[in-house]
Formats: sequence, C-alpha cells, structure tokens
Amino acid sequence: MEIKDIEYEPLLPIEFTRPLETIDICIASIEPKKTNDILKILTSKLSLNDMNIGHLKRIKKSEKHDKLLDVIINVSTDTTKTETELKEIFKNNNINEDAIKDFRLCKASKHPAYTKSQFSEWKNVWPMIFKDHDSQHNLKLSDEDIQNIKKWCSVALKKAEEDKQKNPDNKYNNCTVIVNPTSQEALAIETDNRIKANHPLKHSVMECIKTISDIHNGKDHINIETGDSINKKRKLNEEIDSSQPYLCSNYDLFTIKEPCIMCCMALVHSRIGRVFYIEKNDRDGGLESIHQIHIQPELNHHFQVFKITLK
Amino acid sequence: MENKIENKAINITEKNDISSSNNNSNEEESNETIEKFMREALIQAQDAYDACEVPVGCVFVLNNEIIGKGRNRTNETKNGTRHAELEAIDMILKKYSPEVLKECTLYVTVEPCIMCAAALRLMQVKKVYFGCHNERFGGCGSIYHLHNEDYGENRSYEIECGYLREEAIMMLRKFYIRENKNAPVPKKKSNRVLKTEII
Repeated sequence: MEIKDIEYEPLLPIEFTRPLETIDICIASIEPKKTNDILKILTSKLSLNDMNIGHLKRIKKSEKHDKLLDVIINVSTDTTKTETELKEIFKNNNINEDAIKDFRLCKASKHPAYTKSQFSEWKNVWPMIFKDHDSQHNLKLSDEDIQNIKKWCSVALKKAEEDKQKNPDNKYNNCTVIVNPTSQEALAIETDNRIKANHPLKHSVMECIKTISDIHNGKDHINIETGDSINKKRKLNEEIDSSQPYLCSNYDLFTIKEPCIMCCMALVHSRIGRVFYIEKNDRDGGLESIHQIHIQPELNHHFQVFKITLK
Repeated sequence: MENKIENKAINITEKNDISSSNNNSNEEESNETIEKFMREALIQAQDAYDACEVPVGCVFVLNNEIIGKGRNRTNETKNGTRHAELEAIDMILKKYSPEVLKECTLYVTVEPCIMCAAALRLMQVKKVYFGCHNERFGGCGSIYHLHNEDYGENRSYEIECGYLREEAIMMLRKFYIRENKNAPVPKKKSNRVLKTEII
C-alpha cells in the first residue's frame, strides 16, 4: 500500500498546549538609582524561584510612573501587609523607605512558556524569560522522518492486511514495526497474536518487544522484508560499537492502533524512543484515550508520540 | 533513584488495610491462607534476588491450589517486560485456557506496575493481594487505579494490600543497595547503607 502524504500531530504534555493562565503578583515602583540595593534584598528574601514564578522577569519599566521601574515583590494579595513587612526590612538595611512606593497587584502568567507562540502572547501580561523547549523536544519532523514514517506505516498496514486475509475473524488485527532510526532497519515486525495464540496479552507491541530481546540474546531472526535469516546480535554490536544495546532505547515504533495501557507501560519499561500510530483506541488506549503514559510526570522514562493521519 | 520504591511505599501502605476490607464478603480467604500464599510469593521473590533480579515474586491460586508462579526475569531475558505476573500468566496459559484466570487470585509481593495492572485486567483476574506499594510504577493505587478505573470492557478487580509487607520491603531494600549492572549508567552504590527500621 502506497501512502501518498501524511499529516502528523505530536501528543504533547500540557505545558506545550495550555492557554494563558494568570496569577496576581504584588509589585511596587522604585527609583532606578536604588535598583541594585533593593534587588539585593529582594533576591535574598523573596526569590522568584522559591515563589514558583522563576519564569517572570523581576523588573520592567513602569507605565504608570514616569522614570520609575516596576518590580515584583511577592505573590501575596495582601499589599498592605507586604508593604509594612518590606519597609521594616528596608529600615533594618538602611534603605530609605521613600525609594519604594505604590504597592499594588498586577497580573502575570502563572506558567512558563514552552512554545514561541505562548511566549509572544504571555510576555505582554508581564515580561517573561523564554527557554526554547520547542527545538529541544524536536517536535518538527524532518523530510527524512516523513519519508520513513510513510515507509514503515505502509509496511505495517501491508502486513496487517496480509494477516487479515489469513485470519479474517481476528478482531484485533494490527501490526507493529520497531525500527533502528540510524540504520533504518526493521528489527521487529509483528502482528497481533491474541487469537492465533489464544493468549490475551500477545498484542503486537508486546510481541515486538519480545523479538527485540531475542535479538539482544543472540537468537537468529528472519528479516521479514527480505526473508533472509540474519544474526542481528552481531550486527547490532558492530553498529553500536562499544555501547551495549539497552532494551529498545532510541528505537522508533510504528503501529496502526494506539497502544493499550499495558503496551504503553511496556514501552516505558523498554525505554522506547518515539512512537507513531494511526488510529485512536477508545477502549483502552494509553497515549491519548484513557491515559497519557508517555508524558506521565511521575514515570522515569518519557517518549515522543506522533499521531499520523494518512492522506 | 529506584530505591524510592520501598521508601515511599512505607508512607502509603497502611497495615489497617488488612482488617478493614476483610469482613465485607464471606468468600474471603482467611488471614492464614493469605499469609501462606504470600509466603510462597516471597519465595519467588527471594529466587529473583538470588539471581540478581529485582526481587518481586507472585503466585496465582485457583481453588486453594497454586497453578502458576513467577518472578522478575528482566535482566536474564533482556526484556524489561518480563515481570513476575507476566511470567506466571505465561506458565498458566501453557496448561490452561485464558478463562481460568477469571477464577484466580493473585498473591504478589509488590503492587503490580501499570503494565501488569492493565494485563491483570485484560485477563480478568478475580482478586489481587499485594505486600507493599510501588510508588514509582504502581498501577493499583500509586500512579493509576487501573484495578477499579472506568475504562475498557473488562471488569475491574478487587485489591488488598499490606500482607507480609515488611518482608517485601526489606527484600527490595537489600536489592537496591547492590548495583544494577544492566542499567545504562550503573550507579555507584557502595556508600549506601541498609535501613532496617520500617515505619
């Protein structure tokens, strides 16, 4: 089956997709000449990081008071109390309390911006610091990636179709391919074997993980594309040189149906690199339908997920 | 990093779990029965420990008889999914049809991970007893509540925890002060000390 074109959608953590949410911050206006002294005190007594607003800039030019600067004091809404306490600290540090005035509330973004578009919108509320997570997460797929996705998705679809011919009653019809992204070699191509093996856990993802472990254990493996029997362990070792392959580290996985919760956690345990799938699995999908296991913050491994639409 | 499993588990596994839900049904196993099978699960866990695997073990019981047992084999198989529960299920399915699991009770030393918790649901096991919680990967209360969450077509299953919990925790602690040589970057753990107090 020839795939002409695809669209892709990365399944991202909430940080990348959420809209602007604001919080109230307490600010005051200060004399530019006193900035250094005042900042020294604020940084040591009221650090932005400690208040979970490390993504905000401390100071900006005041729009309200000509020639003054606006500075973030804290996240308390009780401005009177904040003013009293801060002026007390100023007194103890020999700073004239007239150097700071007009304690008031102001809005700012509650969360750090993860994308450029979030940043360009949110910084208008209160200036922010931007760390470019966009490029760090490699969310734009290259032309080469797109070509490879087309190739491996069509391999999976073809294999699933062949399996359907052989087992027309298999309601779990699916196929998964695990590929070494560097060599673009398919290491495992497996169908769903629940019905064939009368085993409710033999999903195609689990079967692929098993195949990879067989390869790492040095078992001969038939290359489904060419029909050749090859000893992958030798190949893998040559390829990766001194570093031993660890489970499915950095491998790409292509599958037709969104993997179920069991399979998604199996992929966490296997340290998979990226997952590409075509169809949503409303019943028990673990990437978008029931849970988002690939971005569950409490787990020790995360992987990138792209949902692929065939055109 | 991984030794958080047992340390954190201490905070959430209440001993009271045992008595609280035990009177609800007259089909419940007696405490002696539960302890007997949990002891068998611990023997499996010890076997894993002796083989330098994460010490988790389990047994599946049908009509008061063990029909399957397993322990972690992730290092030996170079397959991160070969947990005790999946090993035991494979053993059972060599002899029985999958339907038999619907009548089985699982005794496992540590809370099933998310993968195993979902697998137990796919197999529709009747009930699960476990020793200590697994705060890092647990799918029956720690990270997700897959045993009674509303999803899929398979029924949820009952859980009870806290049985022989201290033994399960101590075995994990003993394991995690050794080094996992199969991890990508082995951590130096020579400075670790075995804690013996259990809160």
